[in-house]
Amino acid sequence: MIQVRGLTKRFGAVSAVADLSFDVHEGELLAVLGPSGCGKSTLLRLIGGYVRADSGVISIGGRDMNGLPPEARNIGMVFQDYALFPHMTALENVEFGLKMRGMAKTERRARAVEALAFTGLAGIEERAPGTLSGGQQQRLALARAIAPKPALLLLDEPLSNLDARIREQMRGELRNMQKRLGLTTILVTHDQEEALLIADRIAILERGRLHQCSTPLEICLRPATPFVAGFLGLTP
Amino acid sequence: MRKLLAPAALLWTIGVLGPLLWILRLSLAWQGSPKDEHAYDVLFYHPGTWTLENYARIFSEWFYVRMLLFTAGLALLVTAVSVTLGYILAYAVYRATPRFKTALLVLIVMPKLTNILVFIFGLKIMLGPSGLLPVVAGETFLLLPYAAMTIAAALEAVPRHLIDTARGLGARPAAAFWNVVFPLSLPGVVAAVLLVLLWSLGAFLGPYLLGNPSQYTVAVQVDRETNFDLNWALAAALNTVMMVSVAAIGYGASRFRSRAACR
Repeated sequence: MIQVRGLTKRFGAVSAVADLSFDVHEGELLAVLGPSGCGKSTLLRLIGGYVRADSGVISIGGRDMNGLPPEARNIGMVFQDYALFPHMTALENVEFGLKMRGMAKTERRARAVEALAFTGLAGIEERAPGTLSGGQQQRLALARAIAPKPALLLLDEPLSNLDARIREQMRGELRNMQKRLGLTTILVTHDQEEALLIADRIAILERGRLHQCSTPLEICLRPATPFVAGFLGLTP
Repeated sequence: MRKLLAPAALLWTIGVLGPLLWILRLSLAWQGSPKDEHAYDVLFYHPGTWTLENYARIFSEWFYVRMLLFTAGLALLVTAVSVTLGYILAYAVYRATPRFKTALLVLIVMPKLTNILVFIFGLKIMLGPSGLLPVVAGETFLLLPYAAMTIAAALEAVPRHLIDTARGLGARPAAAFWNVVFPLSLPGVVAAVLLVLLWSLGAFLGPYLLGNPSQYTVAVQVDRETNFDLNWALAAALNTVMMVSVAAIGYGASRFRSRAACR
Protein backbone atom coordinates (compact mmCIF):
# COMPACT_ATOMS: atom_id res chain seq x y z
CA MET A 1 0.00 0.00 0.00
CA ILE A 2 1.15 3.51 -0.85
CA GLN A 3 0.52 6.22 1.74
CA VAL A 4 0.90 9.91 1.03
CA ARG A 5 0.51 12.24 4.00
CA GLY A 6 0.66 16.05 4.03
CA LEU A 7 2.83 16.18 0.91
CA THR A 8 3.82 19.77 0.06
CA LYS A 9 6.11 21.27 -2.59
CA ARG A 10 6.50 24.96 -3.35
CA PHE A 11 8.35 26.54 -6.28
CA GLY A 12 9.00 30.09 -5.08
CA ALA A 13 5.64 31.50 -4.05
CA VAL A 14 3.65 28.89 -5.98
CA SER A 15 2.41 25.76 -4.26
CA ALA A 16 2.76 23.02 -6.87
CA VAL A 17 1.48 20.44 -4.40
CA ALA A 18 -0.28 21.55 -1.22
CA ASP A 19 -0.82 19.26 1.77
CA LEU A 20 -1.82 16.19 -0.25
CA SER A 21 -2.94 13.05 1.58
CA PHE A 22 -4.25 9.88 -0.06
CA ASP A 23 -3.70 6.12 -0.18
CA VAL A 24 -3.22 3.74 -3.10
CA HIS A 25 -4.25 0.20 -2.26
CA GLU A 26 -2.41 -2.96 -3.29
CA GLY A 27 -3.04 -3.80 -6.95
CA GLU A 28 -5.15 -0.71 -7.49
CA LEU A 29 -5.01 1.70 -10.44
CA LEU A 30 -5.35 5.26 -9.20
CA ALA A 31 -5.80 7.99 -11.79
CA VAL A 32 -4.61 11.47 -10.85
CA LEU A 33 -6.77 13.79 -12.91
CA GLY A 34 -6.63 17.53 -13.37
CA PRO A 35 -6.10 20.38 -15.82
CA SER A 36 -2.54 21.20 -16.90
CA GLY A 37 -0.63 22.99 -14.16
CA CYS A 38 -2.62 21.30 -11.39
CA GLY A 39 0.53 19.76 -9.91
CA LYS A 40 0.02 16.19 -11.11
CA SER A 41 3.41 16.00 -12.82
CA THR A 42 5.10 17.40 -9.72
CA LEU A 43 3.28 14.79 -7.64
CA LEU A 44 4.64 12.05 -9.89
CA ARG A 45 8.19 13.45 -9.69
CA LEU A 46 7.90 13.65 -5.89
CA ILE A 47 6.82 10.02 -5.63
CA GLY A 48 9.49 8.94 -8.10
CA GLY A 49 12.16 10.72 -6.05
CA TYR A 50 13.22 13.16 -8.77
CA VAL A 51 12.13 16.19 -6.70
CA ARG A 52 12.51 16.63 -2.93
CA ALA A 53 9.35 17.47 -0.98
CA ASP A 54 9.25 20.49 1.33
CA SER A 55 7.28 18.44 3.84
CA GLY A 56 5.12 15.37 4.09
CA VAL A 57 5.59 11.63 3.98
CA ILE A 58 5.48 9.08 1.17
CA SER A 59 5.65 5.44 2.18
CA ILE A 60 5.50 2.33 0.02
CA GLY A 61 4.61 -0.90 1.82
CA GLY A 62 5.32 0.78 5.15
CA ARG A 63 8.81 1.91 4.05
CA ASP A 64 9.43 5.65 4.29
CA MET A 65 10.74 6.98 0.98
CA ASN A 66 11.98 10.27 2.43
CA GLY A 67 15.48 11.12 1.18
CA LEU A 68 15.83 8.01 -0.99
CA PRO A 69 17.14 8.62 -4.53
CA PRO A 70 15.08 7.28 -7.47
CA GLU A 71 17.34 4.25 -7.92
CA ALA A 72 16.62 3.06 -4.36
CA ARG A 73 12.81 3.26 -4.58
CA ASN A 74 11.97 0.32 -6.88
CA ILE A 75 9.37 2.34 -8.78
CA GLY A 76 8.71 1.80 -12.49
CA MET A 77 8.03 4.91 -14.52
CA VAL A 78 6.73 5.47 -18.05
CA PHE A 79 7.26 8.99 -19.34
CA GLN A 80 4.93 10.77 -21.73
CA ASP A 81 7.43 10.49 -24.61
CA TYR A 82 8.60 7.03 -23.41
CA ALA A 83 12.28 8.10 -22.95
CA LEU A 84 13.59 4.95 -24.63
CA PHE A 85 17.36 4.65 -24.88
CA PRO A 86 18.02 5.23 -28.59
CA HIS A 87 21.46 3.57 -28.62
CA MET A 88 20.20 0.25 -27.26
CA THR A 89 18.09 -2.45 -28.91
CA ALA A 90 14.57 -3.09 -27.63
CA LEU A 91 15.87 -6.04 -25.62
CA GLU A 92 18.73 -4.02 -24.12
CA ASN A 93 16.25 -1.32 -23.11
CA VAL A 94 14.20 -3.88 -21.17
CA GLU A 95 17.32 -5.50 -19.72
CA PHE A 96 18.65 -2.17 -18.39
CA GLY A 97 16.74 -2.15 -15.11
CA LEU A 98 17.68 -5.79 -14.45
CA LYS A 99 21.33 -5.14 -15.27
CA MET A 100 21.38 -2.21 -12.83
CA ARG A 101 20.08 -4.55 -10.16
CA GLY A 102 23.04 -6.84 -10.80
CA MET A 103 21.12 -9.72 -12.37
CA ALA A 104 23.20 -12.29 -14.30
CA LYS A 105 23.09 -12.08 -18.09
CA THR A 106 21.20 -15.27 -18.94
CA GLU A 107 18.57 -14.66 -16.28
CA ARG A 108 17.96 -11.04 -17.23
CA ARG A 109 17.78 -11.94 -20.91
CA ALA A 110 15.08 -14.49 -20.16
CA ARG A 111 13.17 -12.00 -17.99
CA ALA A 112 13.40 -9.30 -20.67
CA VAL A 113 12.17 -11.61 -23.42
CA GLU A 114 9.29 -12.58 -21.15
CA ALA A 115 8.39 -8.92 -20.49
CA LEU A 116 8.46 -8.15 -24.22
CA ALA A 117 6.18 -11.11 -24.93
CA PHE A 118 3.84 -10.02 -22.14
CA THR A 119 3.42 -6.59 -23.72
CA GLY A 120 2.84 -8.12 -27.16
CA LEU A 121 6.27 -7.30 -28.57
CA ALA A 122 7.68 -10.79 -29.18
CA GLY A 123 10.02 -10.76 -32.19
CA ILE A 124 11.25 -7.17 -32.03
CA GLU A 125 14.11 -7.88 -29.58
CA GLU A 126 16.91 -6.69 -31.85
CA ARG A 127 15.14 -3.63 -33.30
CA ALA A 128 16.25 -0.09 -32.43
CA PRO A 129 13.55 1.90 -30.61
CA GLY A 130 13.60 4.57 -33.35
CA THR A 131 12.36 2.03 -35.91
CA LEU A 132 9.27 1.09 -33.89
CA SER A 133 5.79 2.56 -34.28
CA GLY A 134 4.34 4.85 -31.60
CA GLY A 135 2.24 2.04 -30.15
CA GLN A 136 5.21 -0.33 -30.06
CA GLN A 137 7.39 2.30 -28.38
CA GLN A 138 4.71 2.70 -25.74
CA ARG A 139 4.62 -1.04 -25.10
CA LEU A 140 8.41 -1.14 -24.98
CA ALA A 141 8.50 1.63 -22.35
CA LEU A 142 5.95 -0.35 -20.36
CA ALA A 143 7.90 -3.60 -20.73
CA ARG A 144 11.04 -1.86 -19.53
CA ALA A 145 9.23 -0.40 -16.51
CA ILE A 146 7.62 -3.67 -15.38
CA ALA A 147 10.55 -6.04 -16.07
CA PRO A 148 12.29 -5.32 -12.70
CA LYS A 149 8.98 -6.08 -10.90
CA PRO A 150 8.59 -2.67 -9.26
CA ALA A 151 6.51 -2.09 -6.13
CA LEU A 152 4.71 0.75 -7.87
CA LEU A 153 4.20 1.80 -11.47
CA LEU A 154 3.95 5.48 -12.41
CA LEU A 155 2.45 6.41 -15.75
CA ASP A 156 2.80 10.03 -16.93
CA GLU A 157 0.15 10.70 -19.59
CA PRO A 158 1.07 7.38 -21.20
CA LEU A 159 -1.53 7.49 -23.95
CA SER A 160 -1.40 11.15 -24.96
CA ASN A 161 1.15 10.67 -27.75
CA LEU A 162 -0.83 7.97 -29.54
CA ASP A 163 -3.32 8.27 -32.40
CA ALA A 164 -6.95 8.28 -31.24
CA ARG A 165 -7.59 4.83 -32.70
CA ILE A 166 -4.58 3.15 -31.09
CA ARG A 167 -5.17 5.05 -27.87
CA GLU A 168 -8.50 3.33 -27.20
CA GLN A 169 -7.00 -0.07 -27.89
CA MET A 170 -3.94 0.59 -25.72
CA ARG A 171 -6.13 1.92 -22.93
CA GLY A 172 -7.91 -1.42 -22.71
CA GLU A 173 -4.68 -3.40 -22.96
CA LEU A 174 -2.93 -1.26 -20.39
CA ARG A 175 -5.70 -1.87 -17.87
CA ASN A 176 -5.70 -5.56 -18.74
CA MET A 177 -1.94 -5.94 -18.19
CA GLN A 178 -2.06 -3.94 -14.97
CA LYS A 179 -4.78 -6.25 -13.63
CA ARG A 180 -2.98 -9.43 -14.68
CA LEU A 181 0.20 -8.28 -12.93
CA GLY A 182 -1.73 -6.98 -9.93
CA LEU A 183 0.62 -4.02 -10.07
CA THR A 184 -0.16 -0.98 -7.92
CA THR A 185 -0.29 1.89 -10.40
CA ILE A 186 -0.64 5.66 -10.42
CA LEU A 187 -1.65 7.10 -13.77
CA VAL A 188 -1.51 10.84 -14.35
CA THR A 189 -3.81 12.27 -16.99
CA HIS A 190 -5.77 15.34 -18.04
CA ASP A 191 -8.26 13.19 -19.98
CA GLN A 192 -11.49 12.70 -18.00
CA GLU A 193 -12.71 9.85 -20.22
CA GLU A 194 -9.47 7.93 -19.80
CA ALA A 195 -9.59 8.28 -16.01
CA LEU A 196 -13.26 7.34 -15.73
CA LEU A 197 -12.89 4.29 -17.96
CA ILE A 198 -9.82 2.54 -16.57
CA ALA A 199 -9.20 3.70 -12.98
CA ASP A 200 -10.31 1.94 -9.81
CA ARG A 201 -10.29 5.32 -8.11
CA ILE A 202 -9.67 8.88 -9.25
CA ALA A 203 -7.89 11.70 -7.39
CA ILE A 204 -8.91 15.09 -8.75
CA LEU A 205 -6.32 17.84 -8.38
CA GLU A 206 -6.55 21.56 -8.96
CA ARG A 207 -3.73 24.03 -8.29
CA GLY A 208 -1.94 21.51 -6.10
CA ARG A 209 -4.96 20.72 -3.91
CA LEU A 210 -6.91 17.48 -3.76
CA HIS A 211 -10.63 18.00 -4.39
CA GLN A 212 -11.84 14.42 -4.25
CA CYS A 213 -10.44 10.92 -4.22
CA SER A 214 -12.90 8.07 -4.80
CA THR A 215 -14.36 5.67 -7.35
CA PRO A 216 -15.49 6.95 -10.77
CA LEU A 217 -19.10 6.13 -9.92
CA GLU A 218 -18.97 7.94 -6.60
CA ILE A 219 -17.38 11.00 -8.22
CA CYS A 220 -20.04 11.15 -10.95
CA LEU A 221 -22.91 10.68 -8.51
CA ARG A 222 -21.61 12.91 -5.73
CA PRO A 223 -18.95 15.40 -6.92
CA ALA A 224 -17.40 16.85 -3.78
CA THR A 225 -16.86 20.41 -5.02
CA PRO A 226 -18.20 22.65 -7.80
CA PHE A 227 -14.75 22.34 -9.49
CA VAL A 228 -15.06 18.55 -9.73
CA ALA A 229 -18.53 18.83 -11.21
CA GLY A 230 -17.43 21.49 -13.67
CA PHE A 231 -14.25 19.67 -14.70
CA LEU A 232 -16.16 16.47 -15.45
CA GLY A 233 -18.91 18.42 -17.23
CA LEU A 234 -21.60 17.34 -14.76
CA THR A 235 -24.55 19.63 -14.27
CA PRO A 236 -25.48 20.03 -10.60
CA MET B 1 22.59 25.14 -63.43
CA ARG B 2 25.99 24.25 -64.90
CA LYS B 3 26.70 27.92 -65.54
CA LEU B 4 26.10 28.76 -61.90
CA LEU B 5 28.90 26.38 -60.94
CA ALA B 6 31.46 28.26 -63.04
CA PRO B 7 32.48 30.77 -60.32
CA ALA B 8 32.83 27.94 -57.82
CA ALA B 9 34.93 25.90 -60.25
CA LEU B 10 37.12 28.94 -60.95
CA LEU B 11 37.59 29.67 -57.26
CA TRP B 12 38.44 26.05 -56.49
CA THR B 13 40.94 25.88 -59.35
CA ILE B 14 42.70 29.17 -58.69
CA GLY B 15 42.35 29.22 -54.94
CA VAL B 16 42.80 25.60 -53.88
CA LEU B 17 43.82 23.14 -56.56
CA GLY B 18 46.39 25.39 -58.26
CA PRO B 19 48.40 26.22 -55.12
CA LEU B 20 48.25 22.60 -53.95
CA LEU B 21 49.61 21.32 -57.23
CA TRP B 22 52.26 24.03 -57.20
CA ILE B 23 53.41 22.93 -53.72
CA LEU B 24 53.47 19.31 -54.88
CA ARG B 25 55.62 20.32 -57.88
CA LEU B 26 57.96 22.38 -55.69
CA SER B 27 58.47 19.43 -53.37
CA LEU B 28 59.82 17.42 -56.31
CA ALA B 29 62.35 20.09 -57.35
CA TRP B 30 66.07 19.76 -56.70
CA GLN B 31 67.15 21.93 -53.77
CA GLY B 32 70.82 22.35 -54.73
CA SER B 33 74.07 20.50 -54.18
CA PRO B 34 75.51 19.76 -50.76
CA LYS B 35 78.65 21.80 -50.06
CA ASP B 36 79.51 20.06 -46.83
CA GLU B 37 77.69 17.98 -44.26
CA HIS B 38 75.04 20.51 -43.29
CA ALA B 39 75.01 23.49 -45.62
CA TYR B 40 73.44 23.29 -49.03
CA ASP B 41 74.10 25.58 -51.97
CA VAL B 42 70.50 26.56 -52.04
CA LEU B 43 68.42 29.46 -53.28
CA PHE B 44 64.69 28.63 -53.09
CA TYR B 45 64.79 25.70 -55.59
CA HIS B 46 66.12 24.77 -59.02
CA PRO B 47 63.32 25.23 -61.59
CA GLY B 48 62.69 22.47 -64.05
CA THR B 49 64.42 19.75 -62.02
CA TRP B 50 62.76 16.54 -60.77
CA THR B 51 63.92 14.57 -57.74
CA LEU B 52 62.66 12.63 -54.69
CA GLU B 53 65.70 13.78 -52.69
CA ASN B 54 63.62 16.06 -50.42
CA TYR B 55 61.39 13.21 -49.31
CA ALA B 56 64.41 10.95 -48.89
CA ARG B 57 65.98 13.52 -46.58
CA ILE B 58 62.80 13.92 -44.52
CA PHE B 59 62.45 10.20 -43.95
CA SER B 60 66.14 9.40 -43.46
CA GLU B 61 67.63 12.24 -41.43
CA TRP B 62 66.96 11.78 -37.73
CA PHE B 63 66.40 15.57 -37.35
CA TYR B 64 63.29 15.38 -39.55
CA VAL B 65 62.12 11.94 -38.41
CA ARG B 66 62.31 13.06 -34.79
CA MET B 67 60.40 16.21 -35.68
CA LEU B 68 57.62 14.25 -37.42
CA LEU B 69 57.34 11.89 -34.43
CA PHE B 70 57.37 14.80 -31.99
CA THR B 71 54.68 16.63 -33.97
CA ALA B 72 52.45 13.54 -33.98
CA GLY B 73 53.09 12.85 -30.30
CA LEU B 74 52.37 16.44 -29.32
CA ALA B 75 49.15 16.40 -31.35
CA LEU B 76 47.99 13.17 -29.65
CA LEU B 77 48.84 14.48 -26.18
CA VAL B 78 47.16 17.85 -26.75
CA THR B 79 44.11 16.08 -28.19
CA ALA B 80 43.81 13.73 -25.22
CA VAL B 81 44.12 16.55 -22.68
CA SER B 82 41.85 18.98 -24.58
CA VAL B 83 39.08 16.47 -25.20
CA THR B 84 39.14 15.20 -21.60
CA LEU B 85 39.05 18.69 -20.09
CA GLY B 86 36.61 19.80 -22.81
CA TYR B 87 34.23 16.99 -21.86
CA ILE B 88 34.32 18.07 -18.20
CA LEU B 89 33.55 21.69 -19.15
CA ALA B 90 30.83 20.61 -21.58
CA TYR B 91 29.21 18.35 -18.97
CA ALA B 92 29.06 21.29 -16.54
CA VAL B 93 27.27 23.28 -19.26
CA TYR B 94 24.89 20.36 -19.89
CA ARG B 95 23.87 20.07 -16.24
CA ALA B 96 23.68 23.83 -15.56
CA THR B 97 20.41 25.75 -15.30
CA PRO B 98 19.61 27.87 -18.39
CA ARG B 99 20.96 31.08 -16.83
CA PHE B 100 24.30 29.54 -15.83
CA LYS B 101 24.50 27.72 -19.14
CA THR B 102 24.85 30.98 -21.05
CA ALA B 103 27.39 32.32 -18.54
CA LEU B 104 29.51 29.16 -18.80
CA LEU B 105 29.42 29.19 -22.61
CA VAL B 106 30.55 32.83 -22.63
CA LEU B 107 33.39 31.96 -20.24
CA ILE B 108 34.52 29.12 -22.50
CA VAL B 109 34.55 31.30 -25.61
CA MET B 110 36.02 34.39 -23.89
CA PRO B 111 39.73 33.51 -24.42
CA LYS B 112 39.02 33.33 -28.16
CA LEU B 113 38.14 37.03 -28.15
CA THR B 114 41.75 37.85 -27.24
CA ASN B 115 44.31 38.42 -29.95
CA ILE B 116 46.21 35.15 -30.27
CA LEU B 117 49.66 36.73 -29.80
CA VAL B 118 48.53 38.62 -26.72
CA PHE B 119 47.00 35.36 -25.47
CA ILE B 120 50.23 33.40 -26.00
CA PHE B 121 52.49 36.02 -24.44
CA GLY B 122 50.07 36.17 -21.52
CA LEU B 123 50.50 32.41 -21.17
CA LYS B 124 54.27 32.80 -21.42
CA ILE B 125 54.23 35.08 -18.39
CA MET B 126 52.03 32.61 -16.51
CA LEU B 127 53.79 29.40 -17.51
CA GLY B 128 57.39 30.50 -17.07
CA PRO B 129 60.48 29.34 -19.01
CA SER B 130 60.11 27.69 -22.41
CA GLY B 131 59.78 23.93 -22.48
CA LEU B 132 57.55 20.99 -23.24
CA LEU B 133 55.02 21.70 -20.48
CA PRO B 134 54.30 25.30 -21.61
CA VAL B 135 53.93 24.06 -25.21
CA VAL B 136 51.37 21.40 -24.25
CA ALA B 137 49.56 23.77 -21.90
CA GLY B 138 49.56 26.57 -24.49
CA GLU B 139 48.20 24.43 -27.32
CA THR B 140 45.61 22.97 -24.93
CA PHE B 141 44.47 26.45 -23.90
CA LEU B 142 44.17 27.37 -27.57
CA LEU B 143 42.15 24.30 -28.59
CA LEU B 144 40.14 23.54 -25.44
CA PRO B 145 37.27 25.93 -26.34
CA TYR B 146 36.72 24.12 -29.66
CA ALA B 147 36.67 20.72 -27.97
CA ALA B 148 34.33 21.94 -25.23
CA MET B 149 31.90 23.63 -27.65
CA THR B 150 31.77 20.61 -29.98
CA ILE B 151 31.04 18.22 -27.11
CA ALA B 152 28.57 20.64 -25.48
CA ALA B 153 26.59 20.75 -28.73
CA ALA B 154 26.46 16.94 -28.82
CA LEU B 155 25.46 16.68 -25.14
CA GLU B 156 22.69 19.22 -25.62
CA ALA B 157 21.03 16.71 -27.97
CA VAL B 158 20.85 14.09 -25.18
CA PRO B 159 17.41 14.44 -23.54
CA ARG B 160 17.88 15.05 -19.85
CA HIS B 161 14.98 12.89 -18.75
CA LEU B 162 16.87 9.87 -20.10
CA ILE B 163 18.99 10.30 -16.95
CA ASP B 164 15.84 10.33 -14.80
CA THR B 165 14.65 7.21 -16.60
CA ALA B 166 17.94 5.41 -16.01
CA ARG B 167 17.90 6.38 -12.32
CA GLY B 168 14.30 5.22 -12.01
CA LEU B 169 15.40 1.87 -13.44
CA GLY B 170 17.94 1.51 -10.64
CA ALA B 171 21.07 3.20 -12.02
CA ARG B 172 23.22 5.26 -9.66
CA PRO B 173 24.27 8.66 -11.08
CA ALA B 174 27.64 7.31 -12.32
CA ALA B 175 26.00 4.28 -13.96
CA ALA B 176 23.41 6.51 -15.63
CA PHE B 177 26.23 8.63 -17.04
CA TRP B 178 28.37 5.77 -18.38
CA ASN B 179 25.48 3.72 -19.76
CA VAL B 180 23.31 6.47 -21.23
CA VAL B 181 24.80 9.97 -21.44
CA PHE B 182 28.33 9.05 -22.48
CA PRO B 183 27.46 6.63 -25.32
CA LEU B 184 24.97 9.15 -26.71
CA SER B 185 27.57 11.94 -26.63
CA LEU B 186 30.21 9.85 -28.46
CA PRO B 187 29.61 11.40 -31.90
CA GLY B 188 30.54 14.76 -30.34
CA VAL B 189 33.66 13.26 -28.76
CA VAL B 190 34.74 11.81 -32.12
CA ALA B 191 34.16 15.17 -33.81
CA ALA B 192 36.13 16.97 -31.10
CA VAL B 193 39.02 14.48 -31.35
CA LEU B 194 39.21 15.00 -35.13
CA LEU B 195 38.98 18.77 -34.89
CA VAL B 196 41.65 19.11 -32.20
CA LEU B 197 43.91 16.43 -33.68
CA LEU B 198 44.00 17.97 -37.15
CA TRP B 199 44.41 21.43 -35.72
CA SER B 200 47.20 20.50 -33.33
CA LEU B 201 49.10 18.62 -36.05
CA GLY B 202 49.62 22.06 -37.53
CA ALA B 203 50.67 23.58 -34.20
CA PHE B 204 52.86 26.59 -34.85
CA LEU B 205 52.54 29.48 -32.42
CA GLY B 206 52.60 27.37 -29.25
CA PRO B 207 55.81 25.47 -30.07
CA TYR B 208 57.41 28.54 -31.69
CA LEU B 209 56.75 31.02 -28.89
CA LEU B 210 56.53 28.77 -25.81
CA GLY B 211 59.02 26.06 -26.73
CA ASN B 212 62.74 25.42 -27.25
CA PRO B 213 64.08 24.23 -30.62
CA SER B 214 63.64 20.64 -29.42
CA GLN B 215 59.88 21.30 -29.26
CA TYR B 216 59.69 22.72 -32.78
CA THR B 217 57.02 21.08 -34.91
CA VAL B 218 56.86 20.49 -38.66
CA ALA B 219 54.89 23.73 -39.07
CA VAL B 220 57.68 25.70 -37.38
CA GLN B 221 60.28 23.97 -39.56
CA VAL B 222 58.29 24.78 -42.72
CA ASP B 223 58.45 28.43 -41.69
CA ARG B 224 62.22 28.17 -41.07
CA GLU B 225 62.96 26.39 -44.37
CA THR B 226 60.82 28.94 -46.22
CA ASN B 227 61.90 32.19 -44.63
CA PHE B 228 65.37 31.58 -43.12
CA ASP B 229 67.08 28.71 -44.97
CA LEU B 230 65.34 29.63 -48.24
CA ASN B 231 64.99 25.96 -49.10
CA TRP B 232 61.54 26.03 -50.63
CA ALA B 233 61.76 22.56 -52.13
CA LEU B 234 62.25 20.98 -48.71
CA ALA B 235 59.58 23.22 -47.15
CA ALA B 236 57.14 22.08 -49.84
CA ALA B 237 58.02 18.43 -49.22
CA LEU B 238 57.50 18.80 -45.44
CA ASN B 239 54.21 20.51 -46.17
CA THR B 240 53.12 17.71 -48.50
CA VAL B 241 53.91 15.07 -45.89
CA MET B 242 51.68 16.91 -43.40
CA MET B 243 48.88 17.41 -45.94
CA VAL B 244 48.85 13.74 -46.86
CA SER B 245 48.75 12.74 -43.16
CA VAL B 246 45.86 15.08 -42.45
CA ALA B 247 43.97 13.89 -45.54
CA ALA B 248 44.55 10.26 -44.51
CA ILE B 249 43.19 10.92 -41.01
CA GLY B 250 40.18 12.73 -42.46
CA TYR B 251 39.51 9.90 -44.91
CA GLY B 252 39.89 7.27 -42.21
CA ALA B 253 37.49 9.16 -39.97
CA SER B 254 34.87 9.46 -42.70
CA ARG B 255 35.13 5.72 -43.40
CA PHE B 256 34.78 5.05 -39.66
CA ARG B 257 31.75 7.32 -39.45
CA SER B 258 29.92 5.85 -42.42
CA ARG B 259 30.56 2.38 -40.95
CA ALA B 260 29.17 3.54 -37.60
CA ALA B 261 26.16 5.10 -39.34
CA CYS B 262 25.37 1.78 -41.04
CA ARG B 263 25.11 -0.07 -37.74
